[in-house]
Amino acid sequence: MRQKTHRSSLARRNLQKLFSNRLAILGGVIVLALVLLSIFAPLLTPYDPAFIDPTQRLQPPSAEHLLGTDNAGRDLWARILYGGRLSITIGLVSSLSAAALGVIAGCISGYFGGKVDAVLLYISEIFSTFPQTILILIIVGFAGRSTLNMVLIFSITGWMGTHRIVRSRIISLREEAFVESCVACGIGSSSIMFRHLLPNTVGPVVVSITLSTAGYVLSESGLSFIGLGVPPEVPTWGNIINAAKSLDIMQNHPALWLAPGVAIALFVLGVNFLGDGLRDVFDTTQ
Amino acid sequence: MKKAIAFLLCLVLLCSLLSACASKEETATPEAAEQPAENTEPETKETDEPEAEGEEAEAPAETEDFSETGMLNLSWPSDNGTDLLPFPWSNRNYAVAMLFDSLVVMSPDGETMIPKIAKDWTISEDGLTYTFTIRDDVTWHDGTPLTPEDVVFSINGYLKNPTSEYPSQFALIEGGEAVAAGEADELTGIEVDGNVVTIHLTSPRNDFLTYCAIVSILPKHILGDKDPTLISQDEEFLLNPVGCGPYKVETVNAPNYFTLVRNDDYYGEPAGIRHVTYTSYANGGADASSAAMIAGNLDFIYNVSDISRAENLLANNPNLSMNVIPANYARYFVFNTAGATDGKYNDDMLKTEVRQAINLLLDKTAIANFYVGQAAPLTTFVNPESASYNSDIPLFERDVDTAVQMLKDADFDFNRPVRIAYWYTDQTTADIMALVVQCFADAGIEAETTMVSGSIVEVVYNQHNWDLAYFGNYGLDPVDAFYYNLRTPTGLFVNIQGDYELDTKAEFSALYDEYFSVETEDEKQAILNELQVKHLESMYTIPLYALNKVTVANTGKFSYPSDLFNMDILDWQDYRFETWALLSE
Amino acid sequence: MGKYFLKRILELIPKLLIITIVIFVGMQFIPGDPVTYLIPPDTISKLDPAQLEAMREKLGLNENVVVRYFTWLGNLLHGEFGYSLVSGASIKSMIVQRLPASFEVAIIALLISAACGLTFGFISATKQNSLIDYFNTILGMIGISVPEFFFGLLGISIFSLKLGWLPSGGRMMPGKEALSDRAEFLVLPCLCLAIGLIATLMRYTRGSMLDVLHKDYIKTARSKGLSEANVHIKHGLRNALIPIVVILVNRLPMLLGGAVVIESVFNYPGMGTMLLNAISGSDMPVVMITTMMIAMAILLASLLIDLISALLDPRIRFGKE
Repeated sequence: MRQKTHRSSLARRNLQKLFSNRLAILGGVIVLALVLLSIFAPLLTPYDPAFIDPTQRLQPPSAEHLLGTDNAGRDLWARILYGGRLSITIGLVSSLSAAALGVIAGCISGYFGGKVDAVLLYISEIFSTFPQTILILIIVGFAGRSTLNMVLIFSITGWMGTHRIVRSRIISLREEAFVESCVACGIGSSSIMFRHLLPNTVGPVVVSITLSTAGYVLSESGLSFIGLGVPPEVPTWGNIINAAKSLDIMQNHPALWLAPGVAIALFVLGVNFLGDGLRDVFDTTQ
Repeated sequence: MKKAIAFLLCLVLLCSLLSACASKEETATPEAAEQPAENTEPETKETDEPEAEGEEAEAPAETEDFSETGMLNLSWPSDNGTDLLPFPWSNRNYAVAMLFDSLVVMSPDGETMIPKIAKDWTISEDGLTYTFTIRDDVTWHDGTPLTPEDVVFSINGYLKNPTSEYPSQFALIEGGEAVAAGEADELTGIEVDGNVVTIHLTSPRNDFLTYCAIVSILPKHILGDKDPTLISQDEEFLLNPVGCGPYKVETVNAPNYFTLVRNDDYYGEPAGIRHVTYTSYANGGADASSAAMIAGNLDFIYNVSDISRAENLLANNPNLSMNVIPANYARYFVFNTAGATDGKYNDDMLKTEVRQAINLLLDKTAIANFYVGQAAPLTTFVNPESASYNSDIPLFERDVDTAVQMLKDADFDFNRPVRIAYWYTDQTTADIMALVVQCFADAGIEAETTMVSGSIVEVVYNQHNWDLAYFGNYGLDPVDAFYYNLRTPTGLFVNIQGDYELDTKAEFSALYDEYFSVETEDEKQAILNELQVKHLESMYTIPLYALNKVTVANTGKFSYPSDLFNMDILDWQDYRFETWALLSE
Repeated sequence: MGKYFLKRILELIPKLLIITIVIFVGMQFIPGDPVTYLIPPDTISKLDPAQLEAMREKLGLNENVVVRYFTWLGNLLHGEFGYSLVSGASIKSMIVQRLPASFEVAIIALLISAACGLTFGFISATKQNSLIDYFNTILGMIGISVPEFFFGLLGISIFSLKLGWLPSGGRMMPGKEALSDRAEFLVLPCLCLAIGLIATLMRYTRGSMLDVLHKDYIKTARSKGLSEANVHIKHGLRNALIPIVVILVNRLPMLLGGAVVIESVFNYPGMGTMLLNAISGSDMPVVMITTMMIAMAILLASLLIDLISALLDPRIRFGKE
């Protein structure tokens, strides 16, 4: 019972700490706003983001089209809204699943050490040694371009970093006194791993997740640039910004790249501020 | 230090915002700079008539002769990022034409052939025998004299090389089929007597002489021993190409650039500009070459894909001007009539009425509008503006209601999707495909588009898991370019056309062969009219739009004959390099 | 410890082999055709499939996968890198031309980003929550949230097209082959490549420094009466460096083969576009050699990281492994 009270007051303290961090709140608000805008996209725009109207190509912002139209006559505001759904999903899901894989691998690696660690390290090295381009090209060549494949690729190529971080954290932690006392109390190793050691590694993992979310949103844009990303008709912020690849659009139709650029920047900003706040919370309670 | 850098970054951001605003004003008057090359007539040349070959361009009266001291910057016409030169038989464009000559070239108006390595020729009455007299004063860049053996070697090699662009005319030479199939080593229909080369065809072909312009004559003493199947990959030759053209190679710096210098031992008029550099834009593509053109590092782009891109170039650099060339290039849909290897073929495509209905569904005007100012919707494969258009055929108009009715009458299954394949990677094609999907949706049909990446031969031709495919093709003659596909299938087309309606296809073959064997323009026109009607009845392919080509040149620096790009005959034409000049550094 | 590193180097070989096998097999699934890769799609239908087949036969493309792999491996062990199936160019010369190009850009970008990233991050950490910190944070955010090609285009638009100070792309022009003449071609690509790295490094440095600065031994150092600068640099930075070094050394091989976007925007002939084209065209020999080189670089980099970590952090030793 004493443990429960201890935990709930700890939780309350954490929340208090989080809410007193103004930047973190700002970040959270921005992310929430973007997520809500994406979810409620159909209510916020009458246009279908895929509807092509060649008579309305490259129109500047007006009363009819809030942000203007792109080079196929599609309404830009609608594409940004619906695009947010995919971009945010790809970013968050990819980084969360990569982190999940990495955390599990890192925990096992760090706690058990020895042969298990060696095998996991070996696998991790082989994976990191593949130039990401090749893996992506092979998977895309084999399974086609789709959102799911995108997330799959990012997860498979992204777990190694978290694995390393968690592993080194666990290695340094397992020497500490409280682990010995847990073992002495008879607590099982998976319990030790996931309930005692893992929360202490959350700090760097959270930072890693926040940074990599932004990274994946951009990676998706980079892949679209070389033609390997999500199919071009499907709107994502990365896809839309690629329209600015041509000097013509970049110079003469700034709305086309400013809008997705601002969306991405806001999202990245928000996620990072939130992540920083979370990290500050987790760090000081060590 | 760090504050300064931060400050600089802020400055950069500010500049970008300013530049985005500033550039808007500059785009106000693109029309002012958009003059066809005809109007930019500097005083240095008076070469409007094609016969003016003999006159050299006068050097400008300024102190410096830029044609001697300056450098013409052209781009390396290779799309796919090779580190070496394009092989002459795979592709004959101006880079190849500078280094390699052929027997003849075509005059700017497309009417006559001009002698090059062949100084004279005769064609027999029945059109089966061609006799060329080869010049005896031609030397290769390494000093060796050119002999008729080189001509024989080149024509044989052209047929044996798997990547040659237009082999069909040469397969008509006696023994040609056997050589192309790898069964024979030499053509039986070519003879050499002194400096006369005689060629015998198995059937008359009225454009055979024209296509002789395509075959660059290559040196037998260098390439004679190479494996003819792999000759297009001969690194040794491509790093050190030896031709007999008005320019020779000075340096090859793969993958960055190669430079050419005037060949002083050329048998014809010496080239006007002394140094030419070809820079590779394979890594950066069209965007990089556009930027280079604006910055003044590139002087000429032959095929700017998009007229709005050309207008942007002109708006950014006042020295540039553009020229729209009416081209025999069109994009069209091809129907798969051979089924699909994955079993999901939509066999309603085999019904003629269904194909005709689909033709009516497409909004060709909207599609052509993606290339505003550059494309025109097509009814038949002949441009409606041209005199060859069969005026009995009414112009195309989209009619969704009639189309739906036709589909219903033909028992079309509206629940099955229609699969469309395409392989052009540019954004405009993706947008056009999306529009096509919308057109089908207007009739209640679901259309799925797939962009083919990887091997086109494998996916499009061998697997053929599609119902419609988006093709583009170009030719000197619309019959060769577009009605070619309607004949009895040969080569890769066998895979996608199968055994469908072979008797109709045989009729197309007969018309095609007749078109290329008759002599007068009226006869050809009659056949073309018939082809246009027949094609629309069978609708094996759907013509979409004709696309003109746009060239952009730095006419403030680079001057060339104003009629040089009047017609789209690039690979065949007489470039008249002796009339080219540089007006500034 | 010497024995440990020797063992690591020997382990490279089976790892490389595994990677080559996986890639060779993986490439079989990509429907590419080196023989027709260079041919414009509009012309393909005019070609004779039998002749193309003969070409494939001669290039050895129809043989069994296993046979092809061992043939390639055998040739490699004899020092023959082979020829591109697409263009016929010798791979050795392709690499000799493109590797130095990528290397130049990568090294310069890394140096710039290390210098700037560390400095900015250091300042941010030591002056946490001050105006400079916020400023750096925002700049960092912009640095990582804007796609690479955008900075590239911006740079070209301003410095090349508007001002005319720098060339719009490429690596060299006739008459400008020496490094001193070529420097102007390197400025924009290196800067653009560095921007993203600076932003990341800045954040990591800041984070790592902050972590370290809150540790007990820092309090100890302060209570010993050492100056702030001493505390920050000698004790703080030195310990914060390890994860940063990891990032830096990790990036080097990626930069060798992965800077495709920058190479594309600046028309720069590097390894990235070579690899991309080779994969698109199923140009097996080029893909294999390039991947092997990048893999080797990554494995060596990993070794380097461990070495440096051992030097910097006395807690990490290699007895147990």
